Amino acid sequence: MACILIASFWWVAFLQRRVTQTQNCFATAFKASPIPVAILTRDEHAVLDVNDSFMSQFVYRRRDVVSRRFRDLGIALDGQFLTRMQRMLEKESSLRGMEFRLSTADGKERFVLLSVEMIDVEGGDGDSDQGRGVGRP
Amino acid sequence: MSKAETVIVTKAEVLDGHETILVVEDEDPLRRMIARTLERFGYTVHFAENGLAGREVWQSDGAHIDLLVTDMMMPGGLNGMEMSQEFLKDRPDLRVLYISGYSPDLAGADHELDVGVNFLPKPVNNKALLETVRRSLARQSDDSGLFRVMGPTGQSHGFQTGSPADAVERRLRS
Repeated sequence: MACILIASFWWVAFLQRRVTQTQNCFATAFKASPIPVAILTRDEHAVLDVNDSFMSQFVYRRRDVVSRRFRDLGIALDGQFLTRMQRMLEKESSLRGMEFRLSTADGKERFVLLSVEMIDVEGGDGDSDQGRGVGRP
Repeated sequence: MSKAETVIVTKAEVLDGHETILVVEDEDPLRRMIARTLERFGYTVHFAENGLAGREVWQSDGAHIDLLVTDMMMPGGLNGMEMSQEFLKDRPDLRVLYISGYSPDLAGADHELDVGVNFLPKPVNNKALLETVRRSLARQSDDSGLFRVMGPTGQSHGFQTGSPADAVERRLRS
């Protein structure tokens, strides 16, 4: 019996270590990616985080975008874009190659192809609106 | 354990830019299509119909050119590979994107060509062109002359401007 308990504890600890390693890999890939990446809440599209490439290419500062709703930032030049994206995400969990025109913080227009992926992450507190729940890389 | 939450990860691949590009292509319609597409997306474009004409543009405006987009095989005495090697001697930091209807393996072992990074197969479509131009421009170089390029998924590829032996010698000298 004791052996089974020890093995179970060992197994849980092993899995938690693997989860932490995976999260660290994700955080590193997110930060180092040369492609601009933003993480948004599913329902309100509040910005949870953006990577360095997002900030350098679109001239936004992290503190100006994090916890704010994407539609309130004035990034999207097509006002209906988020509604369309949300509708498509109800059918598919990922989207590829969506054409998107955006405005940088200094008013320049950029043309990008968006890839969108819905993923489940641990650590949410159910209050997605507040931009909490994802560890800051 | 805390609850799981669903988030949306958005990845934005930039297609436009403000860099200056020299396009050298002997097929008229293709050259015009490439130049028009790049101009529409904000780039400043110079173009030439063969290697010798490309060399003339290079001699007058080479200092301002960020990327050379060239067909590998061209008639007229100076093909794309020879022309790019000549330009790279002047400007080792020049980015080069090769276009060809042939396999990238024809470039030989001294040139590591990656489809979608520094090689674009014909027929060329606008989207692939714009994506590959951005990836070519995003290529980073170190001081030794051994270039590193970032692939579509962010992985790094080696890219040599001379033979492997040259590269090793440069590294040893540095």
